[in-house]
Amino acid sequence: MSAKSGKQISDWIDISVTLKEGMIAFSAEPLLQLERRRSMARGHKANNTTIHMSVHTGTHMDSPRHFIADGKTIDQMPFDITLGQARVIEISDPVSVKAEELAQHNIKRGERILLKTRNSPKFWQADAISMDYVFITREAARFLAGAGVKLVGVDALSVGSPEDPDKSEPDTHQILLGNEIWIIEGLNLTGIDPGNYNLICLPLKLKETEGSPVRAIISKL
Amino acid sequence: MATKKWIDVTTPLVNGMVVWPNDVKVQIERRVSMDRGDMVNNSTISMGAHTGTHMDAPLHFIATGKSIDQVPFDAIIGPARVIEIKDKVSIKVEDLKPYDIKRGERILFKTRNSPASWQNQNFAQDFVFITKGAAQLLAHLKVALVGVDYLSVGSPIDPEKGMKDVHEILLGAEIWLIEGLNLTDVKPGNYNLICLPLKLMNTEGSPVRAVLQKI
Repeated sequence: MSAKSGKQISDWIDISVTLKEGMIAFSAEPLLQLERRRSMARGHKANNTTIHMSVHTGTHMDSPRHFIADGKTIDQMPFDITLGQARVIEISDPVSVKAEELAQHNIKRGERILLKTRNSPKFWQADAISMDYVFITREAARFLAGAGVKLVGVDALSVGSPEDPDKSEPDTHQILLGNEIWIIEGLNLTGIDPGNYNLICLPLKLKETEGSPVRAIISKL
Repeated sequence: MATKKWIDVTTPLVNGMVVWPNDVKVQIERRVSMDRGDMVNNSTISMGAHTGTHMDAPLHFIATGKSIDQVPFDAIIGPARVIEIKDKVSIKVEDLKPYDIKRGERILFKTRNSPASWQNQNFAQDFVFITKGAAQLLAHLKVALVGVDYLSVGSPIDPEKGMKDVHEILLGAEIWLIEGLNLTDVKPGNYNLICLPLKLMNTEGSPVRAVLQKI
Protein backbone atom coordinates (compact mmCIF):
# COMPACT_ATOMS: atom_id res chain seq x y z
CA MET A 1 0.00 0.00 0.00
CA SER A 2 2.56 2.56 0.98
CA ALA A 3 5.46 3.72 -1.11
CA LYS A 4 7.79 1.88 1.26
CA SER A 5 6.15 -1.52 0.80
CA GLY A 6 6.71 -1.20 -2.96
CA LYS A 7 3.62 -3.22 -3.83
CA GLN A 8 3.40 -4.30 -7.43
CA ILE A 9 0.38 -4.58 -9.68
CA SER A 10 0.38 -8.37 -9.37
CA ASP A 11 -0.10 -8.17 -5.61
CA TRP A 12 -3.73 -7.14 -5.88
CA ILE A 13 -6.31 -9.83 -6.54
CA ASP A 14 -9.67 -8.68 -7.86
CA ILE A 15 -12.51 -10.37 -5.97
CA SER A 16 -15.25 -8.32 -7.69
CA VAL A 17 -17.51 -9.83 -10.31
CA THR A 18 -17.75 -8.16 -13.72
CA LEU A 19 -20.81 -5.95 -14.20
CA LYS A 20 -22.37 -6.84 -17.54
CA GLU A 21 -25.77 -7.20 -19.12
CA GLY A 22 -27.27 -10.63 -18.51
CA MET A 23 -25.34 -11.19 -15.28
CA ILE A 24 -27.06 -13.19 -12.56
CA ALA A 25 -29.34 -11.34 -10.15
CA PHE A 26 -32.27 -12.08 -7.86
CA SER A 27 -35.49 -12.28 -9.85
CA ALA A 28 -37.09 -9.26 -8.14
CA GLU A 29 -34.18 -6.93 -8.99
CA PRO A 30 -34.18 -4.65 -12.04
CA LEU A 31 -31.72 -5.94 -14.64
CA LEU A 32 -28.43 -4.13 -15.16
CA GLN A 33 -28.22 -2.18 -18.40
CA LEU A 34 -25.11 -0.55 -19.85
CA GLU A 35 -26.44 1.66 -22.59
CA ARG A 36 -23.86 3.17 -24.94
CA ARG A 37 -25.80 6.38 -25.45
CA ARG A 38 -23.09 7.90 -27.66
CA SER A 39 -20.96 5.57 -29.74
CA MET A 40 -17.94 6.07 -31.99
CA ALA A 41 -19.11 3.00 -33.91
CA ARG A 42 -22.25 4.97 -34.72
CA GLY A 43 -20.31 8.11 -35.70
CA HIS A 44 -20.17 10.06 -32.43
CA LYS A 45 -16.85 11.63 -31.49
CA ALA A 46 -16.74 9.83 -28.13
CA ASN A 47 -18.18 6.80 -26.40
CA ASN A 48 -20.49 7.60 -23.51
CA THR A 49 -22.43 5.06 -21.48
CA THR A 50 -25.38 5.31 -19.14
CA ILE A 51 -25.61 2.81 -16.27
CA HIS A 52 -28.93 1.49 -14.97
CA MET A 53 -28.75 -0.93 -12.06
CA SER A 54 -29.96 -1.92 -8.64
CA VAL A 55 -27.41 -0.95 -5.99
CA HIS A 56 -27.49 -4.62 -4.86
CA THR A 57 -26.04 -5.92 -8.14
CA GLY A 58 -22.90 -8.04 -8.40
CA THR A 59 -20.29 -7.34 -5.73
CA HIS A 60 -21.95 -4.77 -3.48
CA MET A 61 -22.33 -3.55 0.09
CA ASP A 62 -25.36 -3.38 2.34
CA SER A 63 -25.40 -0.58 4.89
CA PRO A 64 -27.60 -0.79 8.00
CA ARG A 65 -30.30 1.29 6.25
CA HIS A 66 -31.06 -1.69 3.97
CA PHE A 67 -33.05 -3.37 6.77
CA ILE A 68 -32.98 -0.82 9.63
CA ALA A 69 -35.30 2.18 9.08
CA ASP A 70 -33.04 4.65 10.90
CA GLY A 71 -29.72 2.85 10.18
CA LYS A 72 -26.63 4.39 8.62
CA THR A 73 -26.50 4.86 4.86
CA ILE A 74 -23.63 3.82 2.62
CA ASP A 75 -22.22 7.38 2.36
CA GLN A 76 -21.82 7.37 6.16
CA MET A 77 -19.51 4.35 6.22
CA PRO A 78 -16.16 4.96 7.98
CA PHE A 79 -13.25 3.91 5.74
CA ASP A 80 -11.91 1.82 8.61
CA ILE A 81 -14.70 -0.69 7.90
CA THR A 82 -13.39 -1.68 4.47
CA LEU A 83 -9.72 -0.62 4.36
CA GLY A 84 -7.34 -2.82 6.30
CA GLN A 85 -6.56 -6.35 7.32
CA ALA A 86 -9.17 -9.02 6.61
CA ARG A 87 -9.32 -12.77 7.12
CA VAL A 88 -10.63 -15.24 4.56
CA ILE A 89 -12.21 -18.20 6.38
CA GLU A 90 -13.08 -21.29 4.38
CA ILE A 91 -16.42 -22.83 5.32
CA SER A 92 -16.67 -26.56 4.70
CA ASP A 93 -20.41 -26.91 5.37
CA PRO A 94 -22.11 -27.24 1.95
CA VAL A 95 -25.47 -25.87 3.16
CA SER A 96 -24.95 -22.93 5.49
CA VAL A 97 -22.48 -21.02 7.64
CA LYS A 98 -23.20 -22.23 11.17
CA ALA A 99 -22.10 -20.93 14.58
CA GLU A 100 -20.33 -24.23 15.41
CA GLU A 101 -18.05 -23.94 12.41
CA LEU A 102 -17.30 -20.25 13.04
CA ALA A 103 -16.48 -21.07 16.67
CA GLN A 104 -13.41 -23.03 15.51
CA HIS A 105 -11.77 -19.89 14.09
CA ASN A 106 -11.13 -17.72 17.15
CA ILE A 107 -12.83 -14.70 15.63
CA LYS A 108 -11.95 -11.47 17.44
CA ARG A 109 -13.57 -8.13 18.04
CA GLY A 110 -13.14 -5.65 15.17
CA GLU A 111 -12.14 -8.28 12.57
CA ARG A 112 -13.08 -8.09 8.92
CA ILE A 113 -14.22 -11.58 7.93
CA LEU A 114 -14.70 -12.87 4.38
CA LEU A 115 -16.42 -16.26 4.19
CA LYS A 116 -15.39 -18.52 1.34
CA THR A 117 -17.84 -21.34 0.63
CA ARG A 118 -18.65 -23.72 -2.18
CA ASN A 119 -20.45 -20.73 -3.78
CA SER A 120 -17.00 -19.80 -5.19
CA PRO A 121 -16.89 -20.80 -8.02
CA LYS A 122 -20.20 -22.67 -8.38
CA PHE A 123 -22.59 -19.73 -7.84
CA TRP A 124 -20.70 -17.56 -10.32
CA GLN A 125 -20.30 -20.21 -13.02
CA ALA A 126 -24.04 -20.80 -13.39
CA ASP A 127 -25.97 -19.14 -16.24
CA ALA A 128 -28.96 -18.49 -13.99
CA ILE A 129 -29.17 -17.69 -10.30
CA SER A 130 -29.11 -20.77 -8.11
CA MET A 131 -31.14 -20.40 -4.90
CA ASP A 132 -29.22 -23.29 -3.40
CA TYR A 133 -26.29 -21.15 -2.23
CA VAL A 134 -24.52 -21.34 1.14
CA PHE A 135 -25.99 -18.67 3.47
CA ILE A 136 -25.41 -17.44 7.04
CA THR A 137 -27.83 -18.89 9.61
CA ARG A 138 -29.46 -16.59 12.15
CA GLU A 139 -27.48 -18.35 14.89
CA ALA A 140 -24.19 -17.72 13.05
CA ALA A 141 -25.21 -14.08 12.54
CA ARG A 142 -25.74 -13.78 16.30
CA PHE A 143 -22.34 -15.41 16.84
CA LEU A 144 -20.66 -12.82 14.57
CA ALA A 145 -22.52 -10.00 16.34
CA GLY A 146 -21.42 -11.40 19.70
CA ALA A 147 -17.82 -11.60 18.50
CA GLY A 148 -18.05 -7.91 17.49
CA VAL A 149 -16.73 -8.13 13.93
CA LYS A 150 -16.98 -4.94 11.87
CA LEU A 151 -17.43 -6.43 8.41
CA VAL A 152 -18.70 -9.69 6.93
CA GLY A 153 -18.24 -10.62 3.28
CA VAL A 154 -19.94 -13.52 1.50
CA ASP A 155 -19.54 -15.17 -1.89
CA ALA A 156 -23.22 -15.22 -2.86
CA LEU A 157 -25.57 -12.31 -3.56
CA SER A 158 -27.05 -12.37 -0.07
CA VAL A 159 -26.02 -13.21 3.49
CA GLY A 160 -29.44 -14.79 4.05
CA SER A 161 -31.50 -17.20 1.99
CA PRO A 162 -35.23 -17.53 1.30
CA GLU A 163 -34.58 -21.28 1.53
CA ASP A 164 -33.36 -21.06 5.13
CA PRO A 165 -35.83 -23.28 7.07
CA ASP A 166 -35.48 -20.96 10.10
CA LYS A 167 -38.07 -18.20 9.57
CA SER A 168 -37.64 -16.56 12.98
CA GLU A 169 -37.35 -12.81 13.43
CA PRO A 170 -34.97 -11.05 13.34
CA ASP A 171 -33.41 -12.63 10.25
CA THR A 172 -29.73 -12.77 9.24
CA HIS A 173 -29.66 -9.31 7.62
CA GLN A 174 -31.47 -7.72 10.57
CA ILE A 175 -29.12 -9.30 13.10
CA LEU A 176 -25.93 -8.25 11.30
CA LEU A 177 -27.06 -4.76 10.22
CA GLY A 178 -28.83 -4.16 13.54
CA ASN A 179 -25.45 -4.68 15.23
CA GLU A 180 -23.86 -2.30 12.73
CA ILE A 181 -21.88 -5.01 11.00
CA TRP A 182 -21.34 -3.82 7.43
CA ILE A 183 -21.86 -6.42 4.71
CA ILE A 184 -20.19 -7.18 1.38
CA GLU A 185 -22.22 -9.53 -0.80
CA GLY A 186 -21.37 -11.03 -4.17
CA LEU A 187 -17.62 -11.57 -3.71
CA ASN A 188 -15.97 -14.06 -6.00
CA LEU A 189 -13.42 -15.86 -3.83
CA THR A 190 -12.53 -18.53 -6.39
CA GLY A 191 -8.84 -19.39 -6.08
CA ILE A 192 -8.37 -17.46 -2.82
CA ASP A 193 -6.66 -19.45 -0.07
CA PRO A 194 -7.87 -18.99 3.51
CA GLY A 195 -5.65 -16.62 5.49
CA ASN A 196 -4.85 -12.98 6.14
CA TYR A 197 -5.02 -10.26 3.49
CA ASN A 198 -5.11 -6.52 3.05
CA LEU A 199 -8.58 -5.55 1.89
CA ILE A 200 -9.59 -2.54 -0.14
CA CYS A 201 -13.30 -2.27 -0.79
CA LEU A 202 -14.83 1.05 -1.81
CA PRO A 203 -18.51 1.78 -2.43
CA LEU A 204 -19.74 4.75 -4.46
CA LYS A 205 -20.66 7.84 -2.43
CA LEU A 206 -24.40 7.45 -3.00
CA LYS A 207 -26.16 9.93 -0.78
CA GLU A 208 -28.66 8.48 1.71
CA THR A 209 -28.67 5.12 -0.04
CA GLU A 210 -28.85 1.73 1.66
CA GLY A 211 -26.15 0.07 -0.43
CA SER A 212 -23.81 0.41 -3.37
CA PRO A 213 -21.97 -1.60 -5.96
CA VAL A 214 -18.30 -1.80 -4.94
CA ARG A 215 -14.88 -2.72 -6.23
CA ALA A 216 -13.13 -5.07 -3.83
CA ILE A 217 -9.53 -6.28 -4.01
CA ILE A 218 -7.18 -8.08 -1.65
CA SER A 219 -3.46 -8.70 -1.36
CA LYS A 220 -1.78 -11.47 0.64
CA LEU A 221 -0.23 -10.39 3.91
CA MET B 1 -2.82 1.06 6.52
CA ALA B 2 -5.43 2.25 9.00
CA THR B 3 -3.04 4.37 11.03
CA LYS B 4 -3.51 7.63 9.13
CA LYS B 5 -6.76 9.27 8.23
CA TRP B 6 -8.20 8.81 4.74
CA ILE B 7 -9.42 11.99 3.07
CA ASP B 8 -12.42 11.52 0.81
CA VAL B 9 -11.89 13.43 -2.46
CA THR B 10 -15.10 12.10 -4.01
CA THR B 11 -18.12 14.25 -4.89
CA PRO B 12 -21.37 12.84 -3.40
CA LEU B 13 -23.77 11.27 -5.91
CA VAL B 14 -27.19 12.79 -5.37
CA ASN B 15 -30.32 13.55 -7.37
CA GLY B 16 -30.09 17.02 -8.92
CA MET B 17 -26.29 17.20 -8.83
CA VAL B 18 -24.47 19.07 -11.58
CA VAL B 19 -23.63 16.97 -14.64
CA TRP B 20 -22.02 17.73 -17.99
CA PRO B 21 -24.44 19.60 -20.33
CA ASN B 22 -26.64 17.08 -22.20
CA ASP B 23 -25.53 14.16 -20.02
CA VAL B 24 -28.28 12.20 -18.29
CA LYS B 25 -29.33 13.29 -14.82
CA VAL B 26 -28.56 11.17 -11.78
CA GLN B 27 -31.57 9.24 -10.56
CA ILE B 28 -31.32 7.41 -7.26
CA GLU B 29 -34.73 5.89 -6.73
CA ARG B 30 -35.80 4.06 -3.59
CA ARG B 31 -37.81 1.44 -5.44
CA VAL B 32 -38.65 -0.51 -2.27
CA SER B 33 -39.05 1.61 0.85
CA MET B 34 -39.61 0.93 4.56
CA ASP B 35 -41.22 4.40 4.77
CA ARG B 36 -43.88 3.11 2.41
CA GLY B 37 -44.39 -0.10 4.38
CA ASP B 38 -41.97 -2.41 2.56
CA MET B 39 -39.80 -4.80 4.60
CA VAL B 40 -36.51 -3.35 3.32
CA ASN B 41 -35.06 -0.39 1.47
CA ASN B 42 -33.84 -1.09 -2.06
CA SER B 43 -32.59 1.54 -4.49
CA THR B 44 -31.99 1.68 -8.20
CA ILE B 45 -29.50 4.04 -9.81
CA SER B 46 -29.43 5.52 -13.28
CA MET B 47 -26.49 7.72 -14.22
CA GLY B 48 -23.92 8.52 -16.85
CA ALA B 49 -20.60 6.74 -16.39
CA HIS B 50 -19.01 10.24 -16.39
CA THR B 51 -20.94 11.60 -13.42
CA GLY B 52 -19.35 13.21 -10.37
CA THR B 53 -15.92 11.82 -9.52
CA HIS B 54 -15.24 9.34 -12.31
CA MET B 55 -12.57 7.82 -14.52
CA ASP B 56 -12.14 7.98 -18.29
CA ALA B 57 -10.61 4.91 -19.91
CA PRO B 58 -8.88 5.24 -23.32
CA LEU B 59 -12.06 3.84 -24.96
CA HIS B 60 -13.83 7.12 -24.15
CA PHE B 61 -12.13 8.80 -27.13
CA ILE B 62 -10.02 6.04 -28.73
CA ALA B 63 -12.15 3.56 -30.69
CA THR B 64 -9.77 0.66 -30.02
CA GLY B 65 -8.65 1.81 -26.58
CA LYS B 66 -8.80 -0.08 -23.30
CA SER B 67 -12.04 -0.09 -21.32
CA ILE B 68 -12.38 0.69 -17.60
CA ASP B 69 -12.50 -3.00 -16.58
CA GLN B 70 -8.93 -3.23 -17.96
CA VAL B 71 -7.39 -0.52 -15.76
CA PRO B 72 -4.29 -1.90 -13.99
CA PHE B 73 -4.49 -1.40 -10.22
CA ASP B 74 -0.98 0.02 -10.40
CA ALA B 75 -2.35 3.13 -12.18
CA ILE B 76 -4.83 3.95 -9.43
CA ILE B 77 -3.34 2.64 -6.18
CA GLY B 78 -0.10 4.02 -4.80
CA PRO B 79 1.75 7.28 -4.20
CA ALA B 80 0.31 10.34 -5.92
CA ARG B 81 1.32 13.98 -5.98
CA VAL B 82 -1.14 16.85 -5.56
CA ILE B 83 0.14 19.86 -7.50
CA GLU B 84 -1.51 23.21 -6.92
CA ILE B 85 -2.01 25.29 -10.06
CA LYS B 86 -2.47 29.01 -9.40
CA ASP B 87 -3.35 29.87 -13.02
CA LYS B 88 -6.99 30.90 -12.96
CA VAL B 89 -7.75 29.92 -16.54
CA SER B 90 -5.93 26.76 -17.53
CA ILE B 91 -3.09 24.36 -16.76
CA LYS B 92 -0.28 25.38 -19.10
CA VAL B 93 3.18 24.00 -19.95
CA GLU B 94 4.77 26.87 -17.95
CA ASP B 95 2.69 25.93 -14.91
CA LEU B 96 4.08 22.36 -15.00
CA LYS B 97 7.76 23.23 -15.58
CA PRO B 98 8.70 23.88 -11.90
CA TYR B 99 7.52 20.46 -10.72
CA ASP B 100 10.01 17.98 -12.20
CA ILE B 101 7.24 15.52 -13.09
CA LYS B 102 8.60 12.03 -13.66
CA ARG B 103 7.64 9.00 -15.73
CA GLY B 104 4.99 6.81 -14.05
CA GLU B 105 3.83 9.49 -11.58
CA ARG B 106 0.24 9.83 -10.52
CA ILE B 107 -0.53 13.55 -10.68
CA LEU B 108 -3.61 15.28 -9.26
CA PHE B 109 -4.13 18.95 -10.12
CA LYS B 110 -5.69 21.20 -7.55
CA THR B 111 -6.99 24.44 -9.06
CA ARG B 112 -9.45 27.16 -8.13
CA ASN B 113 -12.16 24.65 -9.22
CA SER B 114 -11.83 23.31 -5.66
CA PRO B 115 -13.99 24.72 -4.20
CA ALA B 116 -15.25 27.46 -6.57
CA SER B 117 -16.65 25.32 -9.39
CA TRP B 118 -18.16 22.77 -7.01
CA GLN B 119 -19.98 25.54 -5.11
CA ASN B 120 -21.84 26.47 -8.29
CA GLN B 121 -25.19 24.66 -8.42
CA ASN B 122 -25.10 24.85 -12.21
CA PHE B 123 -22.49 23.65 -14.68
CA ALA B 124 -19.42 25.92 -14.26
CA GLN B 125 -18.29 26.28 -17.86
CA ASP B 126 -15.30 28.50 -16.94
CA PHE B 127 -13.49 25.77 -14.99
CA VAL B 128 -9.69 25.51 -15.09
CA PHE B 129 -8.79 22.97 -17.81
CA ILE B 130 -5.67 21.34 -19.29
CA THR B 131 -4.31 22.98 -22.46
CA LYS B 132 -3.23 20.94 -25.48
CA GLY B 133 0.39 21.87 -24.81
CA ALA B 134 0.25 20.71 -21.20
CA ALA B 135 -1.47 17.47 -22.29
CA GLN B 136 1.35 16.86 -24.80
CA LEU B 137 3.95 17.45 -22.08
CA LEU B 138 2.21 15.00 -19.69
CA ALA B 139 2.00 12.43 -22.51
CA HIS B 140 5.68 12.96 -23.31
CA LEU B 141 6.59 12.51 -19.64
CA LYS B 142 4.53 9.28 -19.60
CA VAL B 143 2.77 9.87 -16.31
CA ALA B 144 0.50 6.98 -15.26
CA LEU B 145 -2.52 8.98 -14.13
CA VAL B 146 -3.86 12.53 -14.25
CA GLY B 147 -6.60 13.75 -11.95
CA VAL B 148 -8.48 17.05 -12.24
CA ASP B 149 -10.88 18.83 -9.91
CA TYR B 150 -13.81 19.39 -12.24
CA LEU B 151 -15.81 17.33 -14.71
CA SER B 152 -13.36 17.27 -17.64
CA VAL B 153 -9.68 17.60 -18.49
CA GLY B 154 -10.69 19.65 -21.55
CA SER B 155 -12.92 22.70 -21.74
CA PRO B 156 -15.84 23.52 -24.03
CA ILE B 157 -14.64 27.16 -24.04
CA ASP B 158 -10.92 26.48 -24.65
CA PRO B 159 -9.87 29.07 -27.29
CA GLU B 160 -7.70 26.33 -28.88
CA LYS B 161 -10.80 24.11 -29.15
CA GLY B 162 -8.96 21.42 -27.19
CA MET B 163 -11.91 19.57 -25.66
CA LYS B 164 -11.51 16.49 -27.88
CA ASP B 165 -7.75 16.85 -28.50
CA VAL B 166 -6.78 17.02 -24.82
CA HIS B 167 -8.67 13.79 -24.15
CA GLU B 168 -7.15 12.14 -27.23
CA ILE B 169 -3.61 13.19 -26.36
CA LEU B 170 -3.83 11.89 -22.79
CA LEU B 171 -5.93 8.77 -23.44
CA GLY B 172 -3.94 8.01 -26.61
CA ALA B 173 -0.81 7.90 -24.42
CA GLU B 174 -2.71 5.48 -22.14
CA ILE B 175 -2.76 7.96 -19.29
CA TRP B 176 -5.75 7.06 -17.13
CA LEU B 177 -7.90 10.05 -16.10
CA ILE B 178 -9.81 10.89 -12.95
CA GLU B 179 -12.22 13.77 -13.43
CA GLY B 180 -14.46 15.44 -10.89
CA LEU B 181 -12.21 15.22 -7.83
CA ASN B 182 -13.00 17.61 -5.00
CA LEU B 183 -9.60 18.67 -3.62
CA THR B 184 -10.94 21.46 -1.39
CA ASP B 185 -9.53 19.91 1.81
CA VAL B 186 -6.23 18.75 0.32
CA LYS B 187 -2.91 20.58 0.48
CA PRO B 188 -0.25 20.15 -2.22
CA GLY B 189 2.18 17.29 -1.51
CA ASN B 190 2.57 13.52 -1.53
CA TYR B 191 -0.23 11.13 -0.69
CA ASN B 192 -1.23 7.51 -0.98
CA LEU B 193 -4.06 7.29 -3.48
CA ILE B 194 -6.76 4.67 -3.72
CA CYS B 195 -9.21 5.18 -6.57
CA LEU B 196 -11.48 2.33 -7.56
CA PRO B 197 -13.89 2.26 -10.51
CA LEU B 198 -16.67 -0.30 -10.87
CA LYS B 199 -15.81 -3.34 -12.99
CA LEU B 200 -18.08 -2.34 -15.88
CA MET B 201 -17.49 -4.61 -18.85
CA ASN B 202 -16.36 -2.95 -22.11
CA THR B 203 -17.24 0.49 -20.77
CA GLU B 204 -15.32 3.71 -21.42
CA GLY B 205 -15.53 5.07 -17.89
CA SER B 206 -17.00 4.62 -14.45
CA PRO B 207 -17.96 6.53 -11.35
CA VAL B 208 -15.27 5.93 -8.71
CA ARG B 209 -14.56 6.34 -5.03
CA ALA B 210 -11.24 8.10 -4.47
CA VAL B 211 -9.42 8.61 -1.16
CA LEU B 212 -6.07 10.09 -0.18
CA GLN B 213 -3.80 9.59 2.81
CA LYS B 214 -0.93 11.96 3.59
CA ILE B 215 2.50 10.33 3.27
